[in-house]
Amino acid sequence: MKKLFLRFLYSVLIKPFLRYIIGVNFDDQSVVYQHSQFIIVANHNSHMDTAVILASLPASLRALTHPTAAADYFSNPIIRFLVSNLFNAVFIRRSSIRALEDMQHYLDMGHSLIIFPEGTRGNPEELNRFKRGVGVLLKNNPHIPYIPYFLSGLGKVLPKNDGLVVPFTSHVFIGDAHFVTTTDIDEIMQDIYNHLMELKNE
Amino acid sequence: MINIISTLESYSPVLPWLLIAALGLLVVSVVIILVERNRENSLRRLSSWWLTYLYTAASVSFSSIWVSMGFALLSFIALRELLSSYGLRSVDRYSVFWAYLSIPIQYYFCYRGMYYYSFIFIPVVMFLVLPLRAMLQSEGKGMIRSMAVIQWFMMISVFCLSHIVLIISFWRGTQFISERSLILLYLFIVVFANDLIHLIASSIRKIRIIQLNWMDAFICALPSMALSFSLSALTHFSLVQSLVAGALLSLSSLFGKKSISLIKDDLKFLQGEKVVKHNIRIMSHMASLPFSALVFFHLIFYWYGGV
Repeated sequence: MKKLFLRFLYSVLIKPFLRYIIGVNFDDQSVVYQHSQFIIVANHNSHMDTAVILASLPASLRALTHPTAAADYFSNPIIRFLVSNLFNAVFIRRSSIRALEDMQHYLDMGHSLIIFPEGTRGNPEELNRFKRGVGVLLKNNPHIPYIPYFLSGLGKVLPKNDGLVVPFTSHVFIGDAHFVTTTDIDEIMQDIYNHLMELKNE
Repeated sequence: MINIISTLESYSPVLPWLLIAALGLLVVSVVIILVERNRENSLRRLSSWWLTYLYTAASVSFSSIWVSMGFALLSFIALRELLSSYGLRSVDRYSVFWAYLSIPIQYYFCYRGMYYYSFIFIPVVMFLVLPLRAMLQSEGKGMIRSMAVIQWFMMISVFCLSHIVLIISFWRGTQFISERSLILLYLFIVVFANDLIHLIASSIRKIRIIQLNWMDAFICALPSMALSFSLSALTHFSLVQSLVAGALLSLSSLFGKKSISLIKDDLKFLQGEKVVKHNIRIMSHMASLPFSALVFFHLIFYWYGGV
């Protein structure tokens, strides 16, 4: 049921709206079609980011892909209900060690995750310091590839601390899928950072 | 042949004209391939011409309310593309939002034929409203630049383009009541034939279209005047009127194309070539239309408007 709902919501309403009204240009999406399980790492400037990434996915994978949301930020039960149903989000306890367990649980079920390693929304077109959680997760699951996404322009469409959506042309740059080759978390984090910077400068 | 045309005409009076235009387009395609030596460039131009053909066909076939909504959408996309490419300040988001809101209002005035409202709405009302919104933000740095940019882009992509709808609603009120679509067909054929004439002229002189000088512009106006006269069945213009309209449309479409090219050059300087190529699509496709629509409307308004 949820699968059908998400398919209808994104294919019929959200993706055309993002593409034609907001002006989001989606990069070539073939890389997401080649893998059944992955971790998407993306920069985070706006609440639109999650919807844009979900819209870029194949319809069949949408119900199996979960954006990770901070349980402490989305504490209001009504908003929590909406976010978990509209965006298929899962809530993790940001500051606790159990955050990793929560995410591992979904990976073990064969689902995919969308992670914003900056942890929170930053200034438009800037990359903040990354949190190390995603590195640990990738080190523990070397069979799952990560796909870097760089979202450009969305920080202007709906920035932090502002509720008004103003259409501006934006771009979703999608990188190639990468498997981790090392067990050193700092090195993994540096690789992810470099891949995002490459997409940014593309 | 005449039988076929009259049968087609019984379905819709514009159908034979559209077919003739399609035939013309095939000729145009061959000419473009012969004139342009650069393959990528000629492919881009051909796709642009087919797009033009599609919206010309749509605007002469559908009723005026659909044409208005279609052009309002084109205006919106064109404005969004232009504003997004300029790197406005983040405090300008609110002014930009108000600029978008002006599009349905402007097109409503045009659709209803409320001429004087549509003349003053963007140049006067929005001119006052936009800085008013920015003043609430009280962020002085970069204010002049932002206001000027938003206002100018609105004039080109919303005000000028909306004159196409104004032409439809004005023509509805004249004695040529059934000829609504044909006047638009005339405008599109002359303007886009001008594109081709300018392309050929620039390729003969081996320069870019925007480097054409006054002398070239006048020479290019001659075939356009001849074309305008040969199409007078669509417009009921007299000989002098056809020649004047042809010449003015030729000059204004070249002027429009030059303006858009210069805007793009400036944006390339600011943002890099790739950004401009990917971002400014609608205005590149119809660069010659906004100015010529505005000039053409005021021409027929002067001739038939009783002012």
